[in-house]
Amino acid sequence: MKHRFAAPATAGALALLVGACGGSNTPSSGSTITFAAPVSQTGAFGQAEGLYTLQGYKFCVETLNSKGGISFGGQSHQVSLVTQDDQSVAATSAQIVDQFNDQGRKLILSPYGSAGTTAVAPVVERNGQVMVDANGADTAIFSHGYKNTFAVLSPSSSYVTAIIDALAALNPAPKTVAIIAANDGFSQHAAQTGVSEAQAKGMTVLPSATAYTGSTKVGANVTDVSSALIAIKPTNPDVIIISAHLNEAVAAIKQASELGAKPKLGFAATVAPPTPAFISALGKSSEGVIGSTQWVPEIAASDNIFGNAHQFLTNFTNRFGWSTNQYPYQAADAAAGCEALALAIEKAGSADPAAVRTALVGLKADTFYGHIEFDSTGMNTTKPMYVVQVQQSAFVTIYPSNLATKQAVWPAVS
Amino acid sequence: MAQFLQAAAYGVVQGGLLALVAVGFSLVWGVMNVVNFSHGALAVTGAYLAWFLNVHVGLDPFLAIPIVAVAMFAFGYVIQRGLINLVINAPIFLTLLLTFGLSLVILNGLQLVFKSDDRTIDTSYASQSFALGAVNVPYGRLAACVLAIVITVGLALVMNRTRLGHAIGATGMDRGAARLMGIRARHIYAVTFGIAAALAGIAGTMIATVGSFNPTTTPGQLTLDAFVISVLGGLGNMYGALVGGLVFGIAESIGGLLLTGTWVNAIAMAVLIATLIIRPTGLIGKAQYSGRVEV
Repeated sequence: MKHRFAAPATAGALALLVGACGGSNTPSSGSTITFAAPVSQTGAFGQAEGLYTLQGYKFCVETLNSKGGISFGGQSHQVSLVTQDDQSVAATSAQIVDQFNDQGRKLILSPYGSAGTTAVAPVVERNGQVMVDANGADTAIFSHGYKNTFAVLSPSSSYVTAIIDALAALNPAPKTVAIIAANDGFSQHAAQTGVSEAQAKGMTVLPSATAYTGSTKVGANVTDVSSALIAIKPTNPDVIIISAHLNEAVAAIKQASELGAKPKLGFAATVAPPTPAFISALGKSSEGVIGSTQWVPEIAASDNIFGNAHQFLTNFTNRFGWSTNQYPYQAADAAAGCEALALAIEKAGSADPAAVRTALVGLKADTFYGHIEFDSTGMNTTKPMYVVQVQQSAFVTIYPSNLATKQAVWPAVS
Repeated sequence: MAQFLQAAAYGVVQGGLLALVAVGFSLVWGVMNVVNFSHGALAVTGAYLAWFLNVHVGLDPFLAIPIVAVAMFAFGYVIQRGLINLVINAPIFLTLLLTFGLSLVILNGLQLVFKSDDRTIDTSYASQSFALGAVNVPYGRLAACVLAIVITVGLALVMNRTRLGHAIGATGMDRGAARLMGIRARHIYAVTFGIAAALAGIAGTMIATVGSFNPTTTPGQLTLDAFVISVLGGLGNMYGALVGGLVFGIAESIGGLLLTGTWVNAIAMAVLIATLIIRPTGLIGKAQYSGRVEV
């Protein structure tokens, strides 16, 4: 079923939202609005991606409250955040969201990752909750006709394709690529669309175009991908792309060196390279690795809550002690998801989930994260992906060229 | 053929690394009848110690091994004397519970001190390899494999040719009789646990050198690997962990080549099940350990 679009009034909503900041028209305090999120604090994602997501949510709520909260009905409403550890288990995420519903918590922020979000979406639908998805990019989530799930981030189909586009713009451009893909919906779909894009750009995919479903497929979140590398080794590709999460990417780069399976030009990976944990896990071996990312601070984007993208970076990294050279983009995803929910509540003039859902359908917002607007399935397809490279332990934006802060170091392997 | 040889070579050296993880676990299980669920936590503690010495003192991980081993031996000795010994006569489930709780305490402590980021010991050589024709053999894992063999042989010599080894063996077979012979069982148990902790620390150092580790996911995987390898190789034989580790590593590597990488665990477990059906005591385990006397 398709969403019905309401008339957009983003500017008005933003003005209302920040109108509570001061002046003689300061509204009185209303009831507190609670956002609830199952977030991985232990398990495979607990050490990195889940932590970044949690920090993004916290930063958003703190910032919202410091600006006066969400304003509607002549009152200013503070926001509280309730989180519970899903232990990086998708089924647990779903159980937690069910418990949230029992507690009357209807406004949900997604867990980290596509698997968790996939499990939560039908629960949200059944319970009449509404969820803004900040970190689940698998397009399969949006193929079931769910009406109550909205994703601020670019879909999985854009992760490897962005890498391919960036590689095609490099000199020398690779002629052959091999793609290692983890056995999860997000990684497999990202690899599938990446193969099509590589072929469209004239690249040959090795050992075969379907290898990501067979010999170069690895378990999700494993730390041994030697079987895929042994399959790739005889083909000697220009670039090895890892469509997976942190553990698999770290393992692939370490083990490629051990097995003599290093690519001729360099490595690229989805998700992992633009995360601080990637650099801490690999040390010098992380240098030169290319990665696709949902957000970079160089984009010309701003809003009245977080300021512009650079201000978000500065304030977020100060708050949680990160370096501005190694910022977790997942936190920007999370803050943007939280912001979208706040904007929708303001627009709806209510925290009622049905009204918030209707407001999300028609939301068109320009934020520090870029443009947020949902298509008929609930995906934000208007926002592009970006590509960074690890250079001297810093994330350097290299694609698109108009945002690049430095040239790519290429070839990246010696 | 080249791919098969590469997979086999990798399986051997990876198996050696896994054997290094399992040898201490197998020793404690075989001698003390304690399934030590804190073994992975001890290995990761050793990994952090080696990482700290490398990052803050500049010590190469191989040079750090003696320091890590001594420190972990002392840590293990104290844990056994002060904690596990309190429940050594209790049913095995109580020791399981205790070591599981111990693991949680150690890992939460590590997380508090070091945070939960993945860490690695960055060396110029560990991730490099040398080529034998089309086969690459990684230096780091090869060193771990050689270390596992040396340690296993050394441990077997200690157990078979020294008074300490005989005391450990006697205590493992019949604690009451050993006491009657003047053996201080409590001290022997503490020494055994200390040795196992030292071996876990060495294994952790090697894992940090050839891979990465963190306090959340690494310990559980190491404990599980050690458990499976100990069962596969069999208890009561110092070479059990080595044989089990090598078979496990080769099965995973060849299995991943023949099917896909998602099947490696299933194949390794299938090898374990098949082995236990044919030889319930494990590949080279001794049946006497199931019928020993506890007093």
